[in-house]
Amino acid sequence: MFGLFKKKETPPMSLYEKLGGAGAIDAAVDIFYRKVLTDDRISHFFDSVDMESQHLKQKAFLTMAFGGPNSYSGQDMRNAHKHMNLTEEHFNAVAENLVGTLKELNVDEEAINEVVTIALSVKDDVLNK
Amino acid sequence: MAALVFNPTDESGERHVDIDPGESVLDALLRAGINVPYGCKSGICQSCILQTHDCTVPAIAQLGLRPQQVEQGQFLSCRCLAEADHALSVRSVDLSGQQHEARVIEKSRLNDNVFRLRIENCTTYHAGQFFTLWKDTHTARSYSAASLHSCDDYIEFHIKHIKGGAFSEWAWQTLLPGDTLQVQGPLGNCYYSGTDRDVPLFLSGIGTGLAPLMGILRDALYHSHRGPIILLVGNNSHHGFYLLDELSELSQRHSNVSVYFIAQEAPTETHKNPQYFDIQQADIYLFAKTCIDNFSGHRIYLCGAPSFVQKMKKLCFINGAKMSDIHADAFLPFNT
Repeated sequence: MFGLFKKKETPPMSLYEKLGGAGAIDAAVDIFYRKVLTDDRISHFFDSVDMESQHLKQKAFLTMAFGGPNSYSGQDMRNAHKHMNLTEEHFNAVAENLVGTLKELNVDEEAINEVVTIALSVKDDVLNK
Repeated sequence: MAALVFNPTDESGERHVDIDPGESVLDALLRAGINVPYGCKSGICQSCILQTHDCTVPAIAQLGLRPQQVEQGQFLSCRCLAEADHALSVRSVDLSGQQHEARVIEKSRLNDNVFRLRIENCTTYHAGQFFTLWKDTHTARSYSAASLHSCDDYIEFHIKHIKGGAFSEWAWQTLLPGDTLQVQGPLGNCYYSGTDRDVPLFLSGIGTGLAPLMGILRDALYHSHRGPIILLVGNNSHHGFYLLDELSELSQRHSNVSVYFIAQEAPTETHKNPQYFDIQQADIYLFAKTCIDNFSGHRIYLCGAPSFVQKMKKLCFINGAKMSDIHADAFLPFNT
């Protein structure tokens, strides 16, 4: 006669929420972009780009990698990087800078792995494979 | 091929113009011989504003406009690029509502290439913001305010005299105290914010980039800014500097202000004159780095040629400045 009351479950926190949402992106983007600009393996790609618009793109990229709401598509990634002749080394440099940024922000190992998995999912698009 | 319909405000009749995909509305109209006003062709000066009632324009073509302007369908025609099969219907806008008429108060030389123009204080503004000055109904140029609204009964601009320049040559040759000028603005976000008066400020500019920086520096002092302020002024040669005495005097009067004059080229015989004693020869970027080792926590203002602004911005950012703390005003060359 009594219904069985199931305890209401809170949905598991998404990666984006775990990392701290939009605030985390704001904290991460300056650190990440600074690393990219000072990394000799890739800094030359950014010599002549407008810093403001590049900063916005880095923000969009981090939002995607953090599992947040984003409008990035594989096709966008492919088109944006098509004529840059990027290699494995370039991709790895960006990935390393991403990991370095997360470590600097004291993000735990498990979440870092999740971010890296998302970043790896666009690798073929970025390298135009 | 995309199509463009243009309605002028003077009722001279509708014009149909072909516009190539990727071409700006402004360029298409100029190519068709339609005399629409324009200035920088870079989305800055707001002299090429047009209006559309029924078409959507890209967000970039409305960047920097006020919400009411966006609501009315106003847009910057130099930033509105046509897409294939795009049909656009646009009309000219009476900009007189956005302009002020101002009397010229003073015109005087600051050095061989730069003159000062003071007009009456016709509107409120922040020092460092810029105004678009109209020579006539079709030619406009933007200049930054070096004056302080709260202290000066004029708005001051530093104008580089370009021989044959559409605006500067005319202004130098013909404008006289008492003449009136149409002025649009203030525009731009490169100005002092009094929110934290203890942060260190780093101001750097080349050429007439000094104008907005002079305004920002005076505004900071007017607000009793307590943090250290470094002003780094650069020029190619010793000849390029102006207001040397005024700036030296300012730094002597305020213990938290340091001013450095950096010339790229070595001085020649004519520069051994006492008036040039404060000028040092150095690479401005290396000098900036020796002045400030870590830019973290600094509020930064950079004004001048785009290549300078870009390079100095990168230097400040790489060495610790937050992107959101860097305020920059790149002076774009105007294509005529």
